[in-house]
Amino acid sequence: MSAFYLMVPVSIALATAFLYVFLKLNDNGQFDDTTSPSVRMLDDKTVDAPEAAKKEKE
Amino acid sequence: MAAPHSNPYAALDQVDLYPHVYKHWSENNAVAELHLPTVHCASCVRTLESWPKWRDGLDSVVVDFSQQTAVIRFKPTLVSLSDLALELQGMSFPPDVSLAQSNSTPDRPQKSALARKQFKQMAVAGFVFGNTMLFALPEYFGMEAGSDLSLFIRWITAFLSIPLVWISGAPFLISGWAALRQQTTNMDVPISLGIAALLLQSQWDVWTGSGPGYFDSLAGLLFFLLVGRWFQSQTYSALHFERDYRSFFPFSVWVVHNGKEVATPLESLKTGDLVRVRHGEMVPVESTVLEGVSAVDVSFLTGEAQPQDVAPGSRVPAGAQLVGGALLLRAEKALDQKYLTSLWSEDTGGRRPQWTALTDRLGRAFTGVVLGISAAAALVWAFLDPSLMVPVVTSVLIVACPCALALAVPFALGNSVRLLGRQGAFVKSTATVERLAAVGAWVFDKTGTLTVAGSVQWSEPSGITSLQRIALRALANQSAHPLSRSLVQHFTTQGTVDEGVVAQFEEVLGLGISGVVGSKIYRLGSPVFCNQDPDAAPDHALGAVEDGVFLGWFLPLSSFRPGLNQALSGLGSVPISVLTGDTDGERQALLAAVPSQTELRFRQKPEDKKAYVQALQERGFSVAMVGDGLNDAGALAQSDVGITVAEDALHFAPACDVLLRGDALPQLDRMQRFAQAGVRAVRLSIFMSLAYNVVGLSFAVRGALTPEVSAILMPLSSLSVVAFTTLYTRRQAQKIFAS
Repeated sequence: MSAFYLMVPVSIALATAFLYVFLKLNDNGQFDDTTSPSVRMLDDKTVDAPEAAKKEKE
Repeated sequence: MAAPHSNPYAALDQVDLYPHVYKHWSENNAVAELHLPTVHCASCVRTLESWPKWRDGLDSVVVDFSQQTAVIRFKPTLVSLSDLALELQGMSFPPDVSLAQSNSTPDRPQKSALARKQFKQMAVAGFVFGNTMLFALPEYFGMEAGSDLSLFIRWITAFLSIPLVWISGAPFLISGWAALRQQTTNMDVPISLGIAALLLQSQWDVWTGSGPGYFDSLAGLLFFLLVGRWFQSQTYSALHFERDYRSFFPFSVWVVHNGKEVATPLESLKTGDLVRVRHGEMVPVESTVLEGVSAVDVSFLTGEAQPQDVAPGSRVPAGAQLVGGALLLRAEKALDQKYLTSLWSEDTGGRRPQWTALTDRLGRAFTGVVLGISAAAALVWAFLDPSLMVPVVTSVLIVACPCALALAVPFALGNSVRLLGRQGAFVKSTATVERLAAVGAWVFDKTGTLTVAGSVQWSEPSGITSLQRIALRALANQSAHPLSRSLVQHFTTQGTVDEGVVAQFEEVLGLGISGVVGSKIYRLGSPVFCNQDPDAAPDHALGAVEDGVFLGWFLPLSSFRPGLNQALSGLGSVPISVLTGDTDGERQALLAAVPSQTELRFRQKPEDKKAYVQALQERGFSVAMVGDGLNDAGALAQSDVGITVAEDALHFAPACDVLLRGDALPQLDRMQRFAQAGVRAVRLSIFMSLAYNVVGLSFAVRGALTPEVSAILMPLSSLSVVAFTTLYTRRQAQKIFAS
């Protein structure tokens, strides 16, 4: 049972890390537009579009 | 590069005029962001983003679908933004360069800010929900209570509840507190009471070591509630229900200065400025025509279907749309924002009746009942066993927390909003569905609402021969006047062939046209042009003359939408009225198109329409106004449900609650029946959630509510309400719209 004292904090830390990443991406606008990126990936020649999008934001 | 006047977007090239469009500009590299309101599907995104592949000078296009914007990177040396805008228009993505775009940018970031906040709250609630549930399991399955490990886990869940309530619980607590401060109650008040009771009881349990607390229930409650909120906010945010004049007026106009046309911001237009306006453009301010003969469409302002001819000296109102050749105008007034705003919202006296959303009415009733039961339980336990009084009251507050109830409205009505959208009715909010269900009287505008805008049919003079038809068709075909165009269209649909050859064609502006076809002279035009008495002629009549012999009148007939009579009859035996600004010349056609008990009113001014709606409301009816133009704006704002009929999303539309696609109008009766089904779904789920609450309360008042019971009851009731409302509304939509 004593393993729980280690496993529980570790699992929470892991989950918190994922939560943190999600919130960070959310703040950066990752989930603002969920339609166009899904279309963009279908097109071979616009693979660099996200790069361009990033440049636009700067 | 094209001459400036041939490109309506030429003003876009002036970087200093459009600072809000240009994100960056240098000699060989420019970045501009355009709003493209017609982007509506995934393939639009694809089309736009693959554009740079075959367009020189264009580096990249990145579309943001949710905001309907495109960030365009291009080389100004190779291509100008105005050319790109023109090409976009050709690809049927006309950029929106209206006044509203330039000074109302703040409302767009707000939209995504709200979505981000909701995601954040849901993420935190979901995170805590998952972890707390996982950690609660051992204890439920009989892990030795009070052991070191169980205490350790309790402390962890107690700690996790702090960010949970701080971030995810905040919207409910804030809204509940705000309602209490305004001395009202809404659904968030009993929810906040539940949250507070859950949190305090659980913390107490952990600190005193008396139990694991209800943290899993608390996290689940907040998670489900937040999902419900998010679902409810997923409405047609891309559509603009509150558009005002700025959405229709251009940002800049062409002012003629020393013989040159200069793009000038609309706001700096002065009285006396000379303005050039072209086909399809809006007259920005009240002005006088100096040069050019054309026609203006004022249907949006007055409801008058026929374009009005204008010639030098004519006065043109602000908001008239030009159909035909370009005009040179002298501005008689500077831009009067106040006047234009008043025109659009027509906010002159009279308020639309108050409407309390179903949730708030339920919330009020609920708060009373919950407090009543808590007080009763407190009294009883004060006598039986005072030490159990506080725990019993908190458990009553916990189980009575109307989670399922709070989910019923977002899911039942939110689903209805979505399903109505599929039928072509775009509803502003879930509260609008409730209003629509309750409508007891309908008022319709005629032109553009019951009739199809732009498609005018004509009644022909009696005894006209097919040879005369061919000749008149050929004659009308020579003219660009809107009436001639419409007449040609009529002949085409009648099957009249295009065989006539016209000689000696002559057009007398504002009067009519004449020419020789075959061996006969034909004239087509106003009563005066045909030597008839104008007072005896019907309204909007077009006379036809063959070799000096008057053939008769062509009369414009509005074409009513198919299925209208059936739809209006389907609304039931409620008062239905048709108000029109037109004369009663079309009374017979109108009578044939609508059910017999319909009340018809002709020559109605915008004020009359509004007063009519108000009078119906004073008789106790909940009124829906169905209109399409600015002349209906007052009545739309006054009515309980303002429904605007639009042929497309970019159509001029005053502020409204429902945007109805023109071809969906004959479905109106079904839409109301479906809205009623949505409200019925809410009522049924209220019974369901009450049943769960009664079960929970029976535990709570006996002082027997344990964290296990709460952890089972709460998600069970929520999920069953969500499942029920979703299935029920879908089933009803199939039943109602299928036949």
